[in-house]
Amino acid sequence: MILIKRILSLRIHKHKVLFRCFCNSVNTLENIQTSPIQWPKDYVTSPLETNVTDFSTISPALRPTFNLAAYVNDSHSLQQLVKLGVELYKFDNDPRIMETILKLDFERDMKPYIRFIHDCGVPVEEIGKFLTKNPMIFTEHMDDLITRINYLQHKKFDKEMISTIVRKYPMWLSQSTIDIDKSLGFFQTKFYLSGDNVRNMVTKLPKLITWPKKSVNLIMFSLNEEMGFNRSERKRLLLIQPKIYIMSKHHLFERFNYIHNIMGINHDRIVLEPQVLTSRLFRIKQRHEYLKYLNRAQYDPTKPNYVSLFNLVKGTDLDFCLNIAKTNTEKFNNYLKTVC
Amino acid sequence: MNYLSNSEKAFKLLNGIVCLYKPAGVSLKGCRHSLLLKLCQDLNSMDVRPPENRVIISGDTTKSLEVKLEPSYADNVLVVGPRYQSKDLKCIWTTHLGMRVSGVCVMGLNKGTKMVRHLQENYPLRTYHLHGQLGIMTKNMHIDGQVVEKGRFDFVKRENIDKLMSTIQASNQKKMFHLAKVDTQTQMAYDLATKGLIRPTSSNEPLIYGIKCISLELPNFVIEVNVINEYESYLLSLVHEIGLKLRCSATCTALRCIRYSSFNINQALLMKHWNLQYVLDNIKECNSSYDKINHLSAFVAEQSQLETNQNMTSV
Repeated sequence: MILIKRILSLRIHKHKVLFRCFCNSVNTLENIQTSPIQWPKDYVTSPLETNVTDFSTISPALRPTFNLAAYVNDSHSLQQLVKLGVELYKFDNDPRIMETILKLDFERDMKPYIRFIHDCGVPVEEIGKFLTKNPMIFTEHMDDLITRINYLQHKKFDKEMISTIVRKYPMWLSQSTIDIDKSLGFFQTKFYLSGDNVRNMVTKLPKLITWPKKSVNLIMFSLNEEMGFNRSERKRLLLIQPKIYIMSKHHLFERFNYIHNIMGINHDRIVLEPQVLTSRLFRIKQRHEYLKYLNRAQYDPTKPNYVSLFNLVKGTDLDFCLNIAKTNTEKFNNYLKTVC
Repeated sequence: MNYLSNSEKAFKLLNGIVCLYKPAGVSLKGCRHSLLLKLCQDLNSMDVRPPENRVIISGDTTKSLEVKLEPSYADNVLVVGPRYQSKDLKCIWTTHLGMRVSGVCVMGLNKGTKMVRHLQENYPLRTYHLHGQLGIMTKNMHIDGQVVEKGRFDFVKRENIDKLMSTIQASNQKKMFHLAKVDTQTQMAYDLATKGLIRPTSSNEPLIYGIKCISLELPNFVIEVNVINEYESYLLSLVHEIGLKLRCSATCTALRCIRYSSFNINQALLMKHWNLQYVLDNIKECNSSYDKINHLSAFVAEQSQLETNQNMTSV
């Protein structure tokens, strides 16, 4: 107790001294005295003599800015990031990212993370792309990242799978293990997936795992109630084309409506070739209408001149004209100008 | 192509009028956005300006200093963003086309914005193909709306439509003289008519110069209409009115602009061709046709209007 009191009293004493210092300043509000500038001694005596003090360490302070470009010439760490291929201009919209990036030192703070990313299977050329997508990885704790990779290994993802997941979706490493486990469980129970199915799905589209569950549920509802796909069909759609579950519901329904009601294709065929649901509506529309105009719109595999749905939307217009419509592109282009 | 290797040269060539084929269901703003986005992408993929050099003076100030010239990081593409961005290109459209209208859409790029404005000030004639369907009426007069009424249409014959078209055209011709504020029975009206097309003096009253039915396969029909100062809902209501006059109902299934002044649908670029190569070729073609119409005397409507006004005051 006595010790603490002493220390306290010492502190208070110090404060008092400081306070007195301020009060005893020469300048008061009434009269301000000018004090002469303290030049270096030799400089004052002979102004024409050469300067001996080294000014190279003195430079104007960095001023506040809205973008990183103002600092990049003075910051070694930012220059290293540029050399890696990180698109720094993309961080200019987010002051949160700018703050964290500027506080980091390349050798001390960034190097272990970059080495870790490289060890996860991201090749050197893609590290810049990775850091552009997920610059906040530097704020994560190193142990957390190792845990997240260990979790995947524990779930029997092999090394190649992990590297594709991290390359395709850099934000994966910023998601907590609990969240990922929860959402893997969500998909497994909702779609009755086996372990292999889950692993396949995750490597195909890792983004889907962190996608809001609300919108996944909405798409599931829409597929079930509005479009009439049953449970096993929905599962097949997820396994072959998981992208359907992160699409906008409006677009999905419009495409389905066109394919099912106007092109007259039943659910079984759509489920067999679900790629058609992910191609844009105007593409399907243009090609279908052109085939119809040529009397080639034959989507029944049992009849001659069968056109598969996948081939319909695949490839460029040139390929389409040559292989499926069997006309030249000029005719196709002219046809497109006669329809809206 | 030679000029496509250097982005600065290509950028300097992007001055003039582009004629695009606007798809239905996309707004003009969306069209402009995708056009500029694609152009910038193409420009950035070519040889762009290298980063500027920066002078670095380093070393002890008491000794001789070291002066170096290094490429500045602050001007690197990765730091300041792509060299060409869609804000750098000026682009405006001539007439506003609505969401449901497809077809020829004339846009001005960079210096072409002036040309486009000049075009617009001269009230050019537009030709539309209006696709309609008889026997059905919807709430918003377009086929995508809620159906309000269905009815018979088998009594409609070619003659009925042709008769109706000629009455519409006649009434609009009368309106033309009315808007020019001259009596049809006077010498002045005759003089005005001999000069060519009587263009409106303001942009708020739609005027039909010619209307005819070009195909009739019941229940579908196509009407070709030459019109100035039109807008989307006017064309929709025109089809609707035609339906009512034929004593049944009609809705519009498609609106297609096939000609804008002298720019026709053959010149128009499809959406898949909206890239630098095609746009530059198109600009060349459109600029030459703009120069042609610019020299026509009938084109300069405003001047002739001024002259007539002066004549009137002198009288």
